[in-house]
Amino acid sequence: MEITLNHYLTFSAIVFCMGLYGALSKRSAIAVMMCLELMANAVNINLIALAKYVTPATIKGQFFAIFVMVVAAAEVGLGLAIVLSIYRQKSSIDVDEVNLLKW
Amino acid sequence: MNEAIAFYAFAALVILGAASMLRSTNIVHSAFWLLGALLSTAGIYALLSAGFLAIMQIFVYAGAITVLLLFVIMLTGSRVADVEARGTNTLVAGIVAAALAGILVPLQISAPWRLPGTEAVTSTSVLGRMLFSNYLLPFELASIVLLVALVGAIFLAREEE
Repeated sequence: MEITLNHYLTFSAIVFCMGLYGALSKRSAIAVMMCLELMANAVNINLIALAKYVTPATIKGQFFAIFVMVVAAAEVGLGLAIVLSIYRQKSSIDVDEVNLLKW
Repeated sequence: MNEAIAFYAFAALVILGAASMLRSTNIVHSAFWLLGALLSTAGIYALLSAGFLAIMQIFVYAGAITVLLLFVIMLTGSRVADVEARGTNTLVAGIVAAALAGILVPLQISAPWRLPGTEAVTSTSVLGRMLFSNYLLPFELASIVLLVALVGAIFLAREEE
């Protein structure tokens, strides 16, 4: 039994959907950030699997994965700073209570 | 055969970590389950002959990001992951995620890829040389993005005098 590209892509699709479920259903802002990290990871698995199987000579996907990691690190740093300043204002990190811009 | 065993083991660990993260009601436990899922993902990268990325995954995600998440959990003093997510919230999220999975998973299982079938480049030195030649501009831009994010995070999180 051989592991093919489709195995990796299917696996990453499952992980992505689990992250999506969490990002939509969680109410704590920190839990939402964790689920976003999970989704970024699923995308990275996709990119690295495609790098190995589709462009084995130039491994292009790995470079994209490096830049996804950079952006994810920047995103989580900024996102958590925003969570902290929301917490200072509202004494809560429940995303349902941050509804100032709601129509 | 060995590859298949390693793949299924790591995949099961990642999915176990993700599922337990979603189920746990204590957010500190959630963070540690996420850590487990991220470490197992590093194993998947190693299987895909991306050794450098596997190490970066452990340094950046498992090392930096999880610690950052734990620090913010500590600073906000919230131990509860979900203040009991209401029925409609989880229902809608479940429908959206299940619909996406229903589209993606059969598509990925049956996708007919035409692959070159050659061995992938595995050495980190190739990666480094490419990063400083073909991908030099994105690389420098990435460092600017990180710098701006760092300054922005310090500005947003600092105490008001």
